[in-house]
Amino acid sequence: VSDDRRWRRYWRALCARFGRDVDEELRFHVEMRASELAEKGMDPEAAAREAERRFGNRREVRRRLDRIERRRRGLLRFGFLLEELWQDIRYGIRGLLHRPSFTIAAASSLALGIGATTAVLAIVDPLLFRSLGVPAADELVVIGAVNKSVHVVAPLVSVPAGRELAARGDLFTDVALMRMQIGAVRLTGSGQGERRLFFFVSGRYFPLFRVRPAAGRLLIDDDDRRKAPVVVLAHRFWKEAYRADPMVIGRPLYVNGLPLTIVGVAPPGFQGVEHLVAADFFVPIGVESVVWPTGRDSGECPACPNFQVIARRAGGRSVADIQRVLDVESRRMIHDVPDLGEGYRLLAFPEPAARLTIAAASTLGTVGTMFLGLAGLVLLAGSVNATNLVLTRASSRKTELNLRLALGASRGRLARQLLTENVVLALVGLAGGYVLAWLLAVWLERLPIPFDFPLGWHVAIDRRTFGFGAAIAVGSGLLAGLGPALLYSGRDVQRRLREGRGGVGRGGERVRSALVLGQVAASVVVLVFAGLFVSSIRQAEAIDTGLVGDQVVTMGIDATLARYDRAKALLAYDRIERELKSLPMVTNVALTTGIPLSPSMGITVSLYSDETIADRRTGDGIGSLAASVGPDYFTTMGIPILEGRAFRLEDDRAGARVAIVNQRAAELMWPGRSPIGRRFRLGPGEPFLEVVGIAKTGRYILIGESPTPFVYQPFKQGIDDLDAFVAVKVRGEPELAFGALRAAVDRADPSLVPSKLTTLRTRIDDGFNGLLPVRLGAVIASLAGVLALLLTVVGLYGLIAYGVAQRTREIGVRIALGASPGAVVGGILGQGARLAGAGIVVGLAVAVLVTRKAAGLLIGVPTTNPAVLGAVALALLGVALGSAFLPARRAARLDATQALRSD
Amino acid sequence: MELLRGTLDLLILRSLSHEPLHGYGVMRWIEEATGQALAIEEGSLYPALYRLEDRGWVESDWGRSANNRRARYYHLTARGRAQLKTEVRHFTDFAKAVFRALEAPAVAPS
Repeated sequence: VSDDRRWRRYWRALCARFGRDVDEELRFHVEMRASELAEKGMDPEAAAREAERRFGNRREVRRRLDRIERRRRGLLRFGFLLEELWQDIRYGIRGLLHRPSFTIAAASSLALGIGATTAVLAIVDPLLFRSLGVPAADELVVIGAVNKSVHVVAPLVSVPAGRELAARGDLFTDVALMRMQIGAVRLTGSGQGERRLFFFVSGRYFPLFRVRPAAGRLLIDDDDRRKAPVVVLAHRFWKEAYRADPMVIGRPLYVNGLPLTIVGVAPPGFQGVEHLVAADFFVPIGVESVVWPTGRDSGECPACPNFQVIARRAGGRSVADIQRVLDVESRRMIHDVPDLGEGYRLLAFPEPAARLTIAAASTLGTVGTMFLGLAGLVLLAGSVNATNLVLTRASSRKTELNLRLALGASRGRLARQLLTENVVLALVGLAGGYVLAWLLAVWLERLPIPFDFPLGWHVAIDRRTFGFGAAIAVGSGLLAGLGPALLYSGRDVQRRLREGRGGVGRGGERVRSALVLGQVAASVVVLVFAGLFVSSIRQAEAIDTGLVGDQVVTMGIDATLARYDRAKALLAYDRIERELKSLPMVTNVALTTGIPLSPSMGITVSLYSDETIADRRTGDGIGSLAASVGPDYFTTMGIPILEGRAFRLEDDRAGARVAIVNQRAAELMWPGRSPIGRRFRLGPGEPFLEVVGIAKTGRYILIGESPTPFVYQPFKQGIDDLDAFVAVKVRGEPELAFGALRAAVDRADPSLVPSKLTTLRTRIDDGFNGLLPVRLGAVIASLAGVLALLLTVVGLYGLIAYGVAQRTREIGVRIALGASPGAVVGGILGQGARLAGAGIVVGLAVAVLVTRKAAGLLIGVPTTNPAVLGAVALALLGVALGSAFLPARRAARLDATQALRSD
Repeated sequence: MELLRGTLDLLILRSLSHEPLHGYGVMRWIEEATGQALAIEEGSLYPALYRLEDRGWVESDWGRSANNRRARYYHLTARGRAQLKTEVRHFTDFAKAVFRALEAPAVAPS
């Protein structure tokens, strides 16, 4: 055993000896010279003087020698330290190998925690936190707006309004506008078309981000002004569609049938401020009216607020300053453009914060926070476990450590050794965590998330995300090591030796109990989440969506993408309907402006019934959703008409204006009376519609929504929306019909490009607006729950087994005095139950508080759900008793005489 | 005559090539071998010896001198011996080159 005190003594002796040796050597030299000179007959005194003269300045020589020696000593000391460190590491590894069950339990606890945290961070970080990677990204501000019906901040700024903002040089150094759009895209004039996502951007867009093109040039102000039919490709699309061919510049890309000249390629990874979705290319806003002749020219339309503003703050301007100005501007805009509506308000957000509020689903933040929270709890449970195991281990080594302390090992050295051991342990956990994180990330990335367009993000385990996990791991390793080290300093050796096995004493035991209690509580929280999600799935699967989805295939057919006007579009839709109906496997075909359980289902309207309009001075109607559907819609979707009739072919432009309302709308407009034959309208000044039928209330946009008023209009009378969908009911396996359906649309009109085909069942089960969020939540929360439970078992078992080992003698005495094995087992089980019970109570209290935040993600389940809470409490109690049982049985089987002799 | 830079190390190594010597012995050997032609400040011998020891070319042990006094004896290590060989070669090459230059005609060959 290398021993600090002895070493230091040795070192001092070594230094002193060096000093003596040097003096002796130099004296020897001078005296030899003197005696030689004296032999030659010189006077002894003169000889001594001459010898000294010849030697030169002895003090100077001594100084030089000291310097040389000091350097050598420094190197030596460093070598010793290295050796000592290496010794500690070897000692630590040997110690860890010596107790494999401890090592495996502690390292895997850490690995589980780190793995889970890193994997979740790897998902959330690129989405929410990572910087955009453009110069001075912290200056970027995203501006959207809210209005009366859209409460999430949305891209709701008009181009003229954006221009006014751009003129405010005192607020911004640069202002750009962008809007997402889906287009029918062909790479060649005659090839197969495909729907792709792209961005309309203003000329300042690329200059604002200060990025350089990967090839060719980027868009400039002039393109916008000249309405130049040009396009810049996203790097990913350039690679995918053109195999990164630089010769592509100058060639055309057909968007909605119009050739746009490719002028350049954006840099790799660039997608503006968007994070969820990735654009395939960028088109100047000026081109909008050309690509969409039926659409309005946003450039000159102050009442067309559908852009998002990205700006760079001017020096010294805070986002709050900008917001104050925007508030004034918003009021002025409402005054100038009444169409914007009363509640219209521009809102500015600094770039990373905007990701949670603008454009992205508002649930993104909740989901991200929840996953991070769950992973954090698993990490907490894992770290607590590791700490606890290390503490336990340190206690059980007390005798060994005390002995070494008594033999003269310094506390510093012992602390260093414990620390080294724990760092080694942390490193093993870290390696395991990395592997686990990687496996989890691969699994998460492969989760089937149905989306029509490429997602703008991917799971990435990199230096950043893993570094965070590593910091936590090594930090907790240090903490876990420091605890025992601190317990060891500041107490005198004699007392420690006398204490014998009772060693670390009550204080240590309390710390460990508190840690296990915290761990049980963390597990309870994670499990409550898992339970809520699982029961949420049950509830959601039982929801009556009012739809019969199994045999229904849906596809989007947007006539605006072929630049059709209304008349041409309706003709094309007729042809498509006829062509689809002629297929043998098709039983029903219905046109609609929206597909249930998607954002397309229904525009927001206000209902004014003929009886209530007179006394409504406020002018507010009943908020509702509306869609226009073909005659066969209700039979195709399986929506029952409870009263009255469905639409007929005669309900067209020439026929009387009719509508079908759902039960909810009927209740709200004419409570307690039959609505059939009554009239209402969708706004003051709009034509009256006569109610001809009542449809059963179903689910429209979200599967978890509360009963919503809904109004159906005949497809040919309804809203002027040419972005239509077709719902087709087929016989047999719907997926097998996809090819034939697509071909039929192509035969009917080759210039129309249908969207991806999906079954209604898929929308319900795997859609973003269907069960997907709950399912994902359940899978991930359950996984976290299993991990937390495992960790709790290890933690409880470790603590109780240790307690039993510590109390061997006491238990022996009790058995010797006639305690029955049952009483011994009962006592130990009771200890486990008390510990778990306290943890469960704390955990349930925390769970009730935090699950409330996730209410938006759950369907049909109150967050304070007695069944779930009870089940979790029982499960943990069972696990606790199970963990305590093995050590308890071991205690009960103790041989009294041997137990008494122990220690 | 002043010592050329670096020559002291060479002379020390050479002095030890035959047998282990104490510092004073090294001094005496150099004096005799050079016929007292070189003026060495005796004190500077020791820093040189310590540096050589630091580089691992010589090692030292305490022993008894002829007059039975405790003295530090230095001897060459294997690496020191090798170093001596290279330094001898370098020095000879250097001296030869200088001699050649000194004997050459004063006019540059065309």
